This record gives sequence, C-alpha cells and structure tokens, in this order.
Amino acid sequence: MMTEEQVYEAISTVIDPEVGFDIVSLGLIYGVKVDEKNNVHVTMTLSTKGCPLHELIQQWTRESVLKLEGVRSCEIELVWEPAWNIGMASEEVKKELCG
Amino acid sequence: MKVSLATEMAPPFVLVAHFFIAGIFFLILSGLLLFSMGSDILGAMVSSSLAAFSHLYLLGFVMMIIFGAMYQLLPVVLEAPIFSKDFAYVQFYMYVLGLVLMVSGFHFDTLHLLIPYGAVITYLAMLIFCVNVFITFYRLEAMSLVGWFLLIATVFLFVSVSLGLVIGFTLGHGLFEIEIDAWIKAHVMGTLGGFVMMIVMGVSMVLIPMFSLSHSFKDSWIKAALCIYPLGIALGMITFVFGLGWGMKGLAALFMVVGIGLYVIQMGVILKQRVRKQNDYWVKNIVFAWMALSLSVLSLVLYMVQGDEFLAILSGSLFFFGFLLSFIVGHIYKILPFLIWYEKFSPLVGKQKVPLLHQMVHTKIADTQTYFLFGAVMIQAVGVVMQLPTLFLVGSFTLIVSLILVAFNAFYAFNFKIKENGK
Repeated sequence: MMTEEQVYEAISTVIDPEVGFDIVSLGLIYGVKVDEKNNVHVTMTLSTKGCPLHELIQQWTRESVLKLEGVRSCEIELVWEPAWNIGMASEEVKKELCG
Repeated sequence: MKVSLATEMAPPFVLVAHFFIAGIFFLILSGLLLFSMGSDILGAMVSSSLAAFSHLYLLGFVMMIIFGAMYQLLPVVLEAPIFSKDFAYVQFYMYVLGLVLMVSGFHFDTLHLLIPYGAVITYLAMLIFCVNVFITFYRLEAMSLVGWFLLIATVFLFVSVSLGLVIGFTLGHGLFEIEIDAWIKAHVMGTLGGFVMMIVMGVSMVLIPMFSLSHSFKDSWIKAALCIYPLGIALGMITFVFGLGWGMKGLAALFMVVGIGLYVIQMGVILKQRVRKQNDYWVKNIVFAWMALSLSVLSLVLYMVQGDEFLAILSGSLFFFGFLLSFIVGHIYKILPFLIWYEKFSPLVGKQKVPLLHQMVHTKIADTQTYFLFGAVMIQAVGVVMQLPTLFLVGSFTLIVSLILVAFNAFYAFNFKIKENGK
C-alpha cells in the first residue's frame, strides 16, 4: 500500500515558479490520505486567492501523485481555511524568504 | 490536457500580448516624442505638443497596459469570464487606429482635422471596453472590494471619454459652446484620477499582497479610500464642467487627497506585513511610485493654493513618470515573464526543467533601468522647479535610456530559452 510519505515526496517535485520553492516546503499541502485501494486525497491551499496559477498547480499536484506506481486515483481538495501563512513553511523557506 | 489560468475563463495569451507589446512600443515612441518636445513642456499646461505626448503616453502606454491587464485580471478577480473576447480584439485594433489619428492630429499642425476622427474611433473603442466590462459585472452574483474599484473606474472612463469626445468635436469643428479649458481639466481628472487611479488602487489590492506574500493585514484604509476618493473625483469633475465655486473645488481636492493618502497608508500596511523581504526591482519601483504619487499630490495642492503653473507641471511629471511609469514597469517585470512562461513553459512542467519567473528577467539590466528611471524623474523635477529646459531635456534623455532598457528586458523575456545546462 502507498504511504503518505511517498505521496508527499511525489508532490514535492511541484515547484511554484514565482517563489521558486516546492509546494510541500511552502506548506501548501495541508494533508494527504491514502485508502486501502490506493486512492489518494490531497488537501491543499495556495499562498493567495488571486493566484493565477490556481488550476495549474492543482493539475501538477494531481499529475505528480498519479505518476506513482499503483495509485488508482487522486482527488485534490482546495481549501482557504486556515489561511496560509509563512509559519506553515519549512525553516529553509522561511530563512530564504524572510532573510 | 490544456488548463487555463485561474479559471477556464481566462482569455488567450495572444490577446493580452497584443496590448502589452503595443503598450511597450508606444511607451518608447512617447519617450521620443517627449524628447523632441524639448522645452515646450515647461511653457504651458495646455498645448498641442503636450496633448500629443500625453495622449500617446497615457492612451498608448498606460491605458494599453491597463486594458491588457484588465482582460487578464478580471476573470481572476471576479471568477467570471470576460463577456466577449472578440470585443476585446475589435477594441484593440480600433483603439490603435484612433490613437494614431488623434496623436498625429495633435503633433502635426497640417493634420489638425484628424483629431475629431481619431477621437471618435478611440471613443468607440473605449465604449466597447466599457460595455464588455459592464456586462461582465452585470452577470456577477456578488461584488468584491476590488470589483467595486474596477467597476467605478470603468464608469469614470465612460464619462471622461464622453467629455473627451465633446472636446474633440469642439476643437475640430466648434460644434459645442463649452469652456474648453475647464472641460479638458474635467476630462484629465476623470481619466487619470478616476479611471487610471481607481484601477491602480483596486489592482494593487490583488497584486501587492500576491507578489509580496503579505497576509493578515487590515483593509480598513482602502475601504475608507473607496468611500471617499471617487466622491472627490466626481465632485471635482462636476465643479469644472458646471463652473462651480472654490468651496466645492476645495472639498473635492480634500476628498481626493485624503483618498490617496488612505491608499498609500494601506500599501504601507500591506508591505509591512510582507513575508518576502527581498528589496528587488519590483519593490524599489512600487515604493518609488508611491513616494512620487505623494509628492505629486502635494505639488497639486500647492498649485491650487498658489496658482503657479510650474507646480501643476511638476505634479503631472511626478504622476506620469514617477508614479505611473514606475508602478507599471515594476509590474511588467512580474506579469510579462509570467504570461510568457505560462504560454511557453507551463506545458513542459513535469517533462523537463523549466525556468523560474525571475530567471526570465535580466536582473542587472532591470536594476540599471530602475535607477535610470529614478534619476530621470528627479532630474526632470528639478528642471521643472528651476525652470531649466536643458536640465529637463537631460531628464528626458535619461528616461529614454531607461525605456530602452525596459524594452530590452521585454525582448529578453519573449526570447528566453532554457540553456543546455538547465540554467
């Protein structure tokens, strides 16, 4: 069975082209669930509601998960609560962005 | 699978590119026109050479970029498609034709009669834009704060260009008996203060938090600005058109100054909360733009109190080049690479290495351009204050160098290729 760690690793190949970091390090992935039949459910947000890459980032995320061998389906749930903030990002991202 | 930007309702890249490419072309052309004007600009507030330059710069560059940005941003902000993309194409070609005729009429004495024809075509093009935007809004179920700014801005555009059309007919054929100077002032106020400024205010509330990664800020300042600022513009236009007294003018000026002050404070609040602390060419440009806007408003207030014409010219110069140019150029560095990236590289994501957006801007050229622009604005301002035409010319020349560097970077982004080593 697929593990959540494997899914996170796959999603971490998705880079936000504006910020230059992967969306896992940015803290945009709120949760990953994998059921016994390897159906994946990803809960994620975006750094801003006006993001013009809205749909594209969801598509890249879905594609990155579906590339994993054995995954049957991938559902993306986009949420705005809780709103993203820099505290959700990795230490490396915080250091790079905030100086 | 082809996925569009933000919603499946966004317009094709080629539509927005029309406006952006034409905008940069007319920007360079207006820079050359400014240089050829020489010292004319220091002479009088209302002259045909100033009219030629201001229309080429404002309509050809500022509003062209705004129209392109609006077609791109409206679907994102409103989460609804533009009513008609075909209308947008028709608007573009009519707009360019009308603009060329009108500016030629202003610039060459022998072509003076072209002004009303150019004005009518430009007017119809803008009318198409207004109708496109109004119907887009009409179909919305809920209005956002930014939506209100964009809608009110478009109302101001409609009223202002209608005034412009009447002015055009009067200048060309003497069709109407109007106080031309006062109507021109109302037209300028409605277009610059009403349309352009309201668009900038609204768009700022989307772009500044987005690019600076700013969150959890209070937006009460901009809400107050939305209530006060358009009232000031509307009142100001009415006082000019109907020749009302100084009391009303003073009240209008007060509303406008307070409104712009609230906007600048709101921008400061957003930047204070930003996560991205890097002071790149974008940050430098927008901060300089707001400083220039504040000084422009101060000069305008002084002009209203003292009546010295150079103060009005200083205000206009700071608004045109210090504020508008810095603000738009700063955002061209963000938006243009993104649009090109989306078209050229987004289909390659996951298949091969793709560039980051900032890699599509030549940083050293952008930084150099930014400092040239700041220098040009300051030199021009000193030239206006000290009434030194030669100094103003030096400022204009510096500005042209800066504009060429903007064009270089636009070309750089359009032609960006991924190198073999993946960088």
